[in-house]
Amino acid sequence: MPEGGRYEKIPRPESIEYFINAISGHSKVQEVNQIDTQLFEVIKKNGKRLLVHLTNYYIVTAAEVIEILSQSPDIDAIVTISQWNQWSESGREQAISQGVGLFIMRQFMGALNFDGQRFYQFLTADQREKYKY
Amino acid sequence: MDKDFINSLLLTSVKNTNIETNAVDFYLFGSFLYSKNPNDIDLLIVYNSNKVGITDVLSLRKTIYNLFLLNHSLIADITILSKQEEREVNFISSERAEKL
Repeated sequence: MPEGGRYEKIPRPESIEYFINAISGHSKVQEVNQIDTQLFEVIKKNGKRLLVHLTNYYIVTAAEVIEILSQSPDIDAIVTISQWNQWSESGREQAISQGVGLFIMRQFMGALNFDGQRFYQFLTADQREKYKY
Repeated sequence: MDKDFINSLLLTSVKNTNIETNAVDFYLFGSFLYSKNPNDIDLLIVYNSNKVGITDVLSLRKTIYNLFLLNHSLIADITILSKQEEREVNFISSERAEKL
């Protein structure tokens, strides 16, 4: 049964272009390659390779994380692109429990400065204040 | 397609699963509430995580999506939140979602 289109919350083409341009311009990133509609390979200047699932869910919840990881189990990060999008705490906990980072865009830009646990657990200053981590 | 009809479709979808009808609540939000000829429908499923598992809710979402697409040529944009997540993000209030 086809379930493409809006159901998958595929980002708009201009959002994908924005993502590629923004990540390509990050000081720690060597290159960005679009592998599939929502799957991106980010090669960092230190040689680390990240697989990133780009989505446009209003809210990335635990259910969305489970669904995304069932379809793309090898990813390192989920990024929801639109500036008004967000994630839930249980969504983030679900992702981290599986060694995956869950980010909004500006949070992901900050996380790219780090690797490993510091990468996928990265929060912006306002998120740290909001969630009191 | 009015709210009562949508609600009957959703309840029928639930009854065809193992999910108890009181384990999920449905909400309508977005342009469907205000447009005469909408080409999509924004739905919110709020589930009680003590009564239903996430995989069952994901399966229900697929069923509902296919139901609207195949029988009514409508794309259903379906957000899923646990009750706890809804309290955290306050989605119903911020989107002015209407309970079905």
